[in-house]
Amino acid sequence: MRSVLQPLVAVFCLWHMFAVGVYALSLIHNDRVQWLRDSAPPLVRSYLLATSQWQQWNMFAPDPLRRVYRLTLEHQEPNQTWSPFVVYAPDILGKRQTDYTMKFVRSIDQKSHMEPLLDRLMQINCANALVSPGTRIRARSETMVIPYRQPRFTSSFWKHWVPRYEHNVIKETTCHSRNA
Amino acid sequence: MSRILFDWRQFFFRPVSASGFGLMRIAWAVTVGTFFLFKINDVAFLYSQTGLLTPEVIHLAQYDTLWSMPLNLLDSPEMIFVVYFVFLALLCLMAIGLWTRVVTIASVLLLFAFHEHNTLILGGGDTVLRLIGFLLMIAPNIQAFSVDRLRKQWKHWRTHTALLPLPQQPIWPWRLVLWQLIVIYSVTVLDKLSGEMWWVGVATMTAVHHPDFQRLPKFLIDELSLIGPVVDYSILLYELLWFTLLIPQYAWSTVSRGRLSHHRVKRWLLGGGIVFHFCIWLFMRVGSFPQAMLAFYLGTLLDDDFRAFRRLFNRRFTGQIAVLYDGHCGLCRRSVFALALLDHLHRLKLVDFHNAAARQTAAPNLRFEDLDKALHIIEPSGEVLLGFDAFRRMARHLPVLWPLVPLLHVPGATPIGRRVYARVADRRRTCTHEDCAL
Repeated sequence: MRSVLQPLVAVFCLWHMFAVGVYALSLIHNDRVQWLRDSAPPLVRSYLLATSQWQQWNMFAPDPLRRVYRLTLEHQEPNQTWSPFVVYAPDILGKRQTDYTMKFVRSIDQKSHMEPLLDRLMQINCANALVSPGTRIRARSETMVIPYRQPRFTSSFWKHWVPRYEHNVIKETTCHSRNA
Repeated sequence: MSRILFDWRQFFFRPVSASGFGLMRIAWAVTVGTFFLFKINDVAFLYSQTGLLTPEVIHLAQYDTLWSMPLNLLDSPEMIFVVYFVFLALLCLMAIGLWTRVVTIASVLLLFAFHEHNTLILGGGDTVLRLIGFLLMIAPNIQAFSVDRLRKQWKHWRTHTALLPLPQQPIWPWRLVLWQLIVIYSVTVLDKLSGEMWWVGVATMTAVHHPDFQRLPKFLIDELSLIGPVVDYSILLYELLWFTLLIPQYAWSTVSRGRLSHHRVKRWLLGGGIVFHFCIWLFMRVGSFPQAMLAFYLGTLLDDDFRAFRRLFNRRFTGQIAVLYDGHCGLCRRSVFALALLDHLHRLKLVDFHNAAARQTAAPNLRFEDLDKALHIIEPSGEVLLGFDAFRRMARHLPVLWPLVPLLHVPGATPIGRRVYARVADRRRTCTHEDCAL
């Protein structure tokens, strides 16, 4: 039994190491690995998706995320002014909630195909906030980009840096129902 | 040919300590459980069809994999909650190691299901946890530091008055853990070197000033900007050093003339990694990533590492502490069993004082009648302690009990401890192996 199992285990290990290495390497942002992206066997991707071993190590690579995105959901008052009922921003959400919530909020940013998700987010939140059905609601984004080239070996730049947010209304709709 | 076969077998199947994988199992279960507990208020919102992921939009949150399907079949938030709480319960069982194999597989598969059900909220830490989970599922021995193993230990102790041999498994799961860590660090650094901000030395300061990741007050982080480039280059260097683990052991020995070994280099990298990931946790909010990576590190520990840790802690300790106990007393044997399990630094020498030869060697100056009244210990210096005082002194030598040591020295602890010990000692004859009617 051992004489059959051991070679199988060894082959599996080599295959797993190959698949993990090739897959992770093929996703780095470098044209030099284009050949890897083009030639890596589809079996590698299928295997890693089937075993939930897919991976990409790009959170702070090649450069850290500089775009800051906040989302505010507002409803229209009878006097036509807009009042927020949900704010997705790190300083508003709880510390624990920020970790996972801001990830899916960022996934909506600048992606037109994610509009159905934004719509769902608006509907579920207006129902939870007891906004009357039929009320106009909108999603307003605030974006800012952290400077790319900062002076080094000095703290004065950051001390005097004032983030400037751009505001945009990205979607307007109507709150449909209490039972979203 | 036979040499090649031998080397191949050694490379994949040499028996090594499985204790690292036991620790990794516990750390994984605690990390996953903690971070899923943080989401308790948002479970229905994140995972049920009445929350964010209605059937119309769910395809935006999922890859087309087998694992995205199970939770899709549950159409009510109540069912999602049931699965969620079952998951938490399984993680508790996995941490303590009850029905270890089955519970581990179930926990890991449920993790896959939750993660793949909503990929929009996943971060690097979640990826690491999935990688560790898969390796825990397929590793032959994950029972170290488990209730399952404790039961086997007690059974063996009752018949042999000795612990089981250390848990072992073939080396191949360890190789997969190490390879994955090398991939994480090396791919990350290659990707960073493709950009510009890391080269310039402004990457870390940019990251810590991002509101989504910022943990400390801005004025503190601003002051740290002075050393931003130093931090950047240190991180790049640290991640590049992981490539050195691809150098085989014989090459290390040859180049360093025996002064360096693969394991020693690995330990330095792990030590650096602990500092690195602790700093990430301290300065940034990045979810479970620091904790997940530290859990991964535990899986890299082998016999050589445990010996090195023991040598480090025993640098100023020589000899052994003789522990003289009543081998005819059930409670005493249980107590000494616990001491043997906790003696990770190998400082205790357990002596049944009913064994005349062993008693004469360990404690020639102590009378049988005195030994029969309480547990005695004899330090290497010759100091003799008994009862509560002996247990309190031993606590200093048992790493798991170190958090208790200050409590055992608070004012009032000594008289209370001695009184409790005296009461237990008086009634110890009523204890057998099976029960203790104290």
